[in-house]
Amino acid sequence: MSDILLELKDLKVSVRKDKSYLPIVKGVDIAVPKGEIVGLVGESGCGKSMSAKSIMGLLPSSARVEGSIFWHGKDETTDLTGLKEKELRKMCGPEISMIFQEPMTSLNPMMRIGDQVAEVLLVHKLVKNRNEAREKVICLLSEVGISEPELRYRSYPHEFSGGMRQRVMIAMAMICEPKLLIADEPTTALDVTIEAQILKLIRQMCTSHNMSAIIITHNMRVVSQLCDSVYVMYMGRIMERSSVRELFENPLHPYTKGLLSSIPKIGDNPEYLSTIPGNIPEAGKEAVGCEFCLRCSDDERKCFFERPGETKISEDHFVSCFCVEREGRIS
Amino acid sequence: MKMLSKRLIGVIIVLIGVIALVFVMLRVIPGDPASVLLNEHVSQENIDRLTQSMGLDKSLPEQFVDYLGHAVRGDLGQSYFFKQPVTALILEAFPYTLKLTLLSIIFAWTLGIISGVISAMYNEKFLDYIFRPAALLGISVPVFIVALFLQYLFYFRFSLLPLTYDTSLLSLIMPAIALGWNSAGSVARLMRSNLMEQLGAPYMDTALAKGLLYKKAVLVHALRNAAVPVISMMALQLSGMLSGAVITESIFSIPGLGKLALGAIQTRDMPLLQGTVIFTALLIAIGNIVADVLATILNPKIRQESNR
Amino acid sequence: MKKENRQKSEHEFLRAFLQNKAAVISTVIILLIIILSVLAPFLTRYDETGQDLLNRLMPPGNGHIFGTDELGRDVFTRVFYGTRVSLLIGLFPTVLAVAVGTVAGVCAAHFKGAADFIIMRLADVMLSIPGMLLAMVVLYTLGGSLTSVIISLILMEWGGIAVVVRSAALEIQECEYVTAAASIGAGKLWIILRHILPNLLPTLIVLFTLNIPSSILSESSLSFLGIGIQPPQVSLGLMTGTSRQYLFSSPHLVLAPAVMILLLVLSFNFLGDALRDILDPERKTL
Repeated sequence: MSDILLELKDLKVSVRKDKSYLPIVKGVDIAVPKGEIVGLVGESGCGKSMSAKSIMGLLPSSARVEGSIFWHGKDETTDLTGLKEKELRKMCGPEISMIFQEPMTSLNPMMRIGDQVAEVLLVHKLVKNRNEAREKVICLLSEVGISEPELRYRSYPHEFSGGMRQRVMIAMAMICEPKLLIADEPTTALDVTIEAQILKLIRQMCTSHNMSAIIITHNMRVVSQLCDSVYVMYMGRIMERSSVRELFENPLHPYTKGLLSSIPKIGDNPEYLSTIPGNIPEAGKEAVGCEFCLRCSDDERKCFFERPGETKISEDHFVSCFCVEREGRIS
Repeated sequence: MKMLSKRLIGVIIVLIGVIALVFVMLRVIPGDPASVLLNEHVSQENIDRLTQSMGLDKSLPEQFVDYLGHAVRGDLGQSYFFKQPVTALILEAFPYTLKLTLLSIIFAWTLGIISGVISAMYNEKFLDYIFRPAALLGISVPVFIVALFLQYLFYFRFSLLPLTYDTSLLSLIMPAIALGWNSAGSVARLMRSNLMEQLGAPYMDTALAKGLLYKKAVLVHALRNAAVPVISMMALQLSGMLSGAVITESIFSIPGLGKLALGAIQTRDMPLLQGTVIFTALLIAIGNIVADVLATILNPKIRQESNR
Repeated sequence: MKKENRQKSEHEFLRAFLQNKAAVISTVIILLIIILSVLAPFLTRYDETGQDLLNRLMPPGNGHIFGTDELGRDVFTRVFYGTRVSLLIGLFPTVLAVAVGTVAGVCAAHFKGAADFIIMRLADVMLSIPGMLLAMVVLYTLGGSLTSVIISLILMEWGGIAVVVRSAALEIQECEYVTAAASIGAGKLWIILRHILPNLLPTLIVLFTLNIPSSILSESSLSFLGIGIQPPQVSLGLMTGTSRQYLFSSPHLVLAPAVMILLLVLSFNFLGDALRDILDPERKTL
């Protein structure tokens, strides 16, 4: 397992509401290989952000995390869920870093851009003094495509556009050269043209710094442009996982099929825009059977009472659905 | 700069309004101020002469313009009781009120901010359950009850502090606490709710993801964002403090503005009361401007807009 | 809003209210105080102004639950008569101040322009005079009495209420449903009565409850200083003020009215806080 960097094992996250805990993530296994970009796809509220935040310990105190998150470092493996706050925070920055969905509010409005980036270096004592930090920051700002970095260093977030802010966030995440980048819907709040630029930048940073990444998105287009492998998540469970190419060519789970056919293509009949029927059920409900059965197009009675296990289709393709058994696709 | 000058004009309009309001309100009273001033056994001739010298024979609008003209030059008239210029009396009393208010602001803000921050950081935990009702108690206790309680405790029971003001700093401790108690409560409550809001802001996640410890992230990032609205509240606090100063100064015998105003009511010294009220309004106006400037300095967004 | 919806939301409000411990406890305490002070004449055999110079400054006990004051009057009786005044002061001027402030605030928000400017400057004028001193100006002119205290409280409070109501009304006016109503030809008065006022109601309730304790506090402070309610009328603040000189010899004289003021103000503040949490969670800085 030396080529795996991060491994989520049977991760469960539940959030306290009134006096009971609502399960949001219901036992998820994800493995991030070194140097690969892994996509985590699903509709909003399916628990993908929760899973990502649990890695960095960013969940609110009302949330409870069970299961384990193994970090395979250079010489030893640590379970991030068992770390003390100090030890975990030591890893945030140099080992793992994260960028968020809202570039508008993810930066402190009261602090200069440059100082916010430099703060990472200063916190982890990776530089001797402020000047050295400043030089490093300016260098990186120009690398992420911010023009006139010396001038921009002194700007405040509100003077930047959304795309520019996301570039700053990327610079902030990259400055310690972490081994893993978690991007939580990095382009959702941006224009499509800016989205392409930012995705390209993330890709570029990953390859040039030999970094792994987890990209959380609800957008299949982002997955196709950026990721090597992909996990499809629904209602707190993984429905299907495979390499990107395989998934796009041979989607098996009805939910994946739905997600893929929801991408409009030129030439489609504009009168009929394909959607997944039904709405996302309220988060925190535990189903007896398959989580997707209520919205599934081929509703078998069995799906309501029994949860399908994970079926191996090929070396890198796994599906949790009875349909594959029925169709006799087990290799 | 433009914003500041606009604020300044607004403040001047309001101040003129204050003078007009107080002027009219104090004069709707039936009766002749000149006869109140002199005792009963004076001739009508003397009354008329005084009436004329005080400008009371003119119509109310004329009197107002006269008064305003003098007030702009710093002349708030002559005290009936002290037979001295009101301005001189006010300036004599002001340093005492200033000292008292500054001390209690320091007390209120230190206690309020610290307990507000603790309450927010340990939300719904033990310390919050202590500090939150304490802050509510803070805003619920009248100034005079705090003052009497302190006198009972620190003078009578433990003989630690002097009962009333004797020009020493030590004797200002009880008045400052009594006056600052309410403010401490409201600062704590506002600080708590603002900070709670900021703790949920996405930039706090960013700070944690950078590797900052939670406590440091609160102190470095959230606190500054939460402080700006609290500072904007400063002017409101000042108004409450000047109200409270009337009671505190009366209980602890501090010869400040509040005591002056209270004495003016008891001696029916209209010009003195009028002058004191207008002066406190001026103080609050200044407080408003200072709060604005501070908020502007602290908030880069407003700072840049006002520079343009 | 359909009637059905409103009934449903009233039901939800009741449920949230009953689940809030602070709200329930403070309501119970307030109701208890109200009942006791209404029944005060039947609870005691003393008269609130009846002097008994032979039994001056008696400690608690001996038929006087809280002892007697410097003129031999029963403190327990006087505390409950004082509470009546405090309750009156808490409710009556506050209702009027909220009414004036609401009319002013809604007018300012609705008519904009000159009306807005004048009303808001007037409110600013009121707000830039410290409350105590504004009250003192009124009391200088009208003399100390219950009526003049009520007038000064209204003057002190309406400005702040108008400012909050104005901003809330502006927010509501921006809402789509108001624009929609206007676009189908609803008249101005109709919009104010049907859309703006009902949606202001939560804010108004919270403003009302939070202004009750500040009215009580102001009255007790003015009376404490001897410029508010005058004897022989009874007021908790006045009682505290006159028994101040016996603070060290008979502390119970100060303690009894002080505790009652504190209890009243604290319960109303708790109730106001709880109501704000339930009704108007957005508006934290009232």
